[in-house]
Amino acid sequence: MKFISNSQMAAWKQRFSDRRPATEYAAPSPGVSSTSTCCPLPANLVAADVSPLHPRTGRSQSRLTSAATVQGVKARTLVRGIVSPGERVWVRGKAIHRFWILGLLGAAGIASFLLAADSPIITRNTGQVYPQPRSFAQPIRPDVLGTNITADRAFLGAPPVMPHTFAGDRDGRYCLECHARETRIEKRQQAIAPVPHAEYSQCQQCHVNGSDKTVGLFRASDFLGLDFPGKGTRAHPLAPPTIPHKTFMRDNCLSCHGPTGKQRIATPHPWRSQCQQCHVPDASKNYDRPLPWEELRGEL
Amino acid sequence: MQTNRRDFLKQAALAFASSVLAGTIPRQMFAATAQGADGLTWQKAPCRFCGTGCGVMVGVKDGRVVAVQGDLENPVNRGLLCVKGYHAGVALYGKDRLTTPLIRKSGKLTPATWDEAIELIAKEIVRSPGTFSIYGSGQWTIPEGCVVMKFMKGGLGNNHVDPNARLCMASAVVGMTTTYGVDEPSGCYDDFDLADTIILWGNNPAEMHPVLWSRIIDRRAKGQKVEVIDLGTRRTRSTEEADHYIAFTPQGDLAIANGICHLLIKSGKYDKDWVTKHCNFRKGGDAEGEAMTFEEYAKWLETYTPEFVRKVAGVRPAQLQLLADRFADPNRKIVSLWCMGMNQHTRGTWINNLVYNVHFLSGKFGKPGSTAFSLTGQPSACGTCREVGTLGHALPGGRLVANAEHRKECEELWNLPAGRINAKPGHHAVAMFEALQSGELTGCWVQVTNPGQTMPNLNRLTSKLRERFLVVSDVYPTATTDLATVVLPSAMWIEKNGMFGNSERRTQQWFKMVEPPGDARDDVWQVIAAARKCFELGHPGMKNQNGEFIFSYKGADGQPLELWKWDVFKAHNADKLLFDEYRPFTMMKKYALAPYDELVKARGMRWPVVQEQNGAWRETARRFVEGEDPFVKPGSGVDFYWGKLKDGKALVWARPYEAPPEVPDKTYPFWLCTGRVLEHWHTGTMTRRVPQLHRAMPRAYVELNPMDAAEMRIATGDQVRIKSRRGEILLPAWINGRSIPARGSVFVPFFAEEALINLVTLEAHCPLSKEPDYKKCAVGIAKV
Repeated sequence: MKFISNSQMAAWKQRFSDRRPATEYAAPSPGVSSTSTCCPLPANLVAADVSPLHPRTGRSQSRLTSAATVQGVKARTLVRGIVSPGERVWVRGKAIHRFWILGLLGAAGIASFLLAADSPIITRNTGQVYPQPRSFAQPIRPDVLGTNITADRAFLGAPPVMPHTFAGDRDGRYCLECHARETRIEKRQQAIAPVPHAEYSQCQQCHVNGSDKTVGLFRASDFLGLDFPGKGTRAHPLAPPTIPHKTFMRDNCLSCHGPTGKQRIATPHPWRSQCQQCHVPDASKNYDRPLPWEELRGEL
Repeated sequence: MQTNRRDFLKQAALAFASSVLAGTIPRQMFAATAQGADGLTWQKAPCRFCGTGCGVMVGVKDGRVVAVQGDLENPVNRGLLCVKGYHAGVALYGKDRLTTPLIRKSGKLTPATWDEAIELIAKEIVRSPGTFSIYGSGQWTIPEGCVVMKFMKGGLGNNHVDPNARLCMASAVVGMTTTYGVDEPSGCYDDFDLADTIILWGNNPAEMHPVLWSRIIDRRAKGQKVEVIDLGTRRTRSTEEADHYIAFTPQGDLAIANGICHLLIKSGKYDKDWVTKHCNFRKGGDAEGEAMTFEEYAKWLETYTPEFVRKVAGVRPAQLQLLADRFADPNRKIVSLWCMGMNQHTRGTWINNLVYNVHFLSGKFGKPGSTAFSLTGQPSACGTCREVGTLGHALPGGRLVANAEHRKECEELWNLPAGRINAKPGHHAVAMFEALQSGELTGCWVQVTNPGQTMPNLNRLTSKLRERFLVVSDVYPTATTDLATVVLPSAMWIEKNGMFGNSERRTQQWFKMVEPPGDARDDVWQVIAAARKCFELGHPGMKNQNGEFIFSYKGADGQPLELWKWDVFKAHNADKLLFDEYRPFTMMKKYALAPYDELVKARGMRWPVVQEQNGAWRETARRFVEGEDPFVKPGSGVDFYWGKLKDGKALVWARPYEAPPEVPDKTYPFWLCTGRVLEHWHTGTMTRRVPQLHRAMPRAYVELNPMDAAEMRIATGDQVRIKSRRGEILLPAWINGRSIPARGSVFVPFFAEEALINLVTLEAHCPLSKEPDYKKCAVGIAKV
């Protein structure tokens, strides 16, 4: 349970205010229920979001008729819909007469905190039980997809799957609202990996949802993916190590080696931003360049 | 397998020696010699999935695929792939790969040897060669198509060969042949980089051709302005990026296209010069039609007023005007894109014609950045089905079965006795399965496709397949292997040599990189082995003009190669032999494919490929365009050299609006549209075995409009019954999810074999292209 201060909320509003007048925030959020604000459901079908039952809340009606509306929905979705999974977001001290509600909810929150971290979500309609998705701050451990080095990607170089749910499966562009950042959002204590290839905008073309851990395999697989490349080489003990992997689509080293990445590959000097000044690609392990035809034929 | 250096050298020396003897390249040399320091080799291949034809680099270690990367040198994708492409290598390693031939004995598929299986098939073919059929695929490699064509049409004298591409791009083919006399698009992907406006005609490239979509949309990140106009019946991920979304009622596209032409002519803002120089006008609903003048055409168009278009298509006059204004702007470069929305259409040929009309009248054709481009769904629907012509009515290289001259040319090129090729065209896909139902056809060999899941109206078209002699060559158990008499385990993608031809006429070649699992073997070998057995059983059609077996090939030293023996086949590159035999076929219609060795070196080449005076081979970006296409008459600018009237002009067709065959009524009040999703390829037999893809899209669903759902009290996750006059299925609802269908319509993906939506779909098809309409039929919806 994390609280967001009024000042933080104000900062968010400020961020989106250029897109949409602040007054509109009072409007009901079509398509995104308050339920999904506090505990986002797994994506796909299992995300039983029933709020659009009312005809007036049909999202397709209000949105996309003009670009302005799109932007509006976008901002709204961000503020109300997309929070990291497993996290509850409430606005503290909004009004005095709401304190008792907050108190109750807080108690409920503490109670849920004491329960298992993966406490189940029971959908309103079907009564089906789904475990709660992990926060993406937590590393994903090898699980049922364990045909590979970690479960979040099939092999070194494969696009990692999205480890968290995402409101609005259509809206790939909105990924960048968080992932275009360079640094973590300190107040939320969330580590958000910045995009290492800013020139590509269709995120969900490669990064598909991998958050629903209840989905088993369709059929078992024998695939064993390429493992992490290991350490780069050093000319002498004090020399900076080389880059042991390809660099295509990895423009931002800090995406993986920065504070948001895995601890064991984190750089000890994240403030030095010009990584490739000292670390150069290892020719023997750089897969950017395919072997030329002559080499394939053994003529070289 | 451990191989030390000495063994390796021995093998290499042996392989080299045999290559000298046979004049062909032994396949194992490549993987063996390209090993890097870390034991990893990278080789090029085209992606195995959609028709985009992305180049991939496949990383192989210890004889297994361990990684797949985008090929930076491939001009199609420039290093980028979509999620299916990255995981294409994972799709090889499902644990339930078929590894041994299976024969159905007393109702159960039991393991058998290759000899048994091939003999059984050959005996059945020889028993009744005229009632056997082959149902193939746009995922056939080019040599696979060649071998099947020669075996069936040239050997058995039987034209019952049709591919699943009939369900996919047949309308585009007939559209192109009726419009400019020859198949395959004029433009190329380079036009996407130059266009000011992209118009999507019922198309969702964000999910179906993701890399091309990125190629278009990521231009915005570079500061370029790209306007996207999405015409559709369903809001999709592509709509999210569109500047304008124009919703229309199903089948309304016919009226929209005519409406744009009407506005262009009425305002006088059509390209008069282009029309006079390059267009003839024609009326009628069939492929022949009769001539009409421009004035008659303009008068005929007067029906298609904005009011009429509003009535039948539900498009507001302002929206139609917006489209017309785009086309009327002389400085604007426009690319129209379409795929199944226009092709799987009971008037698929017409709507293809009409979109060309719009581009012709506005002169937005054959210029860099302006073209009408038909996207293809399968990796080699163009290269194999359309160019090799694995269709009931076709012969290789754009030839027709019905044309005596064409038959004669094929017999000569194949070195067959005159009169071998049957003059009667074979069945198209739907008719083939109808004939199998009725017993007119007694056997069918299915390769690289899954008709047990993809045929429309499955109950009617596949219920009796189990009683027929059904051979299925596949890599995994599918809905079709369930019905099979004989199941043959196949090598897949980079487990064999291959060649694909993509949407922009690019022919791409790859070599085998890993061994197929167990006893799985190449489809090419399977056909040659069956043909050889037929030859041994005395079928006269298996002999060429010299009385030899039809698949007799010789090495450079003149020694005959016994390719029907697996060991011999494995040690030689049959692809090169078959492609060398096929290449001369491509010269008549000026397809002019590049030689095999050039394709080995290149990241694909767009035909026509001609040799220049300095000996270099030059590909063609835009066909029919002077300065690019070597066959264009100098001075003509744009020359449709296969135009129907042989005057270098294309046809503008007066094709009317026609209501669909089944429309929603009181009992079945909803439109049903089916289609693919980003994560899964066709029937999901490969992609569902990729854990990451399956987790992202684990089950089929029905998408409803939120308003309809609200009225019917259906929420996401509720079970919904979808019922048509033909069948019914149950699916969970997904509302406000990835896409939003228009009010009164629903969408269901077809990848799930446990929820067969094709029990519900309609088998009505375009009378010209014979392509069924999977995009519209009437269904009833009820919450369970």
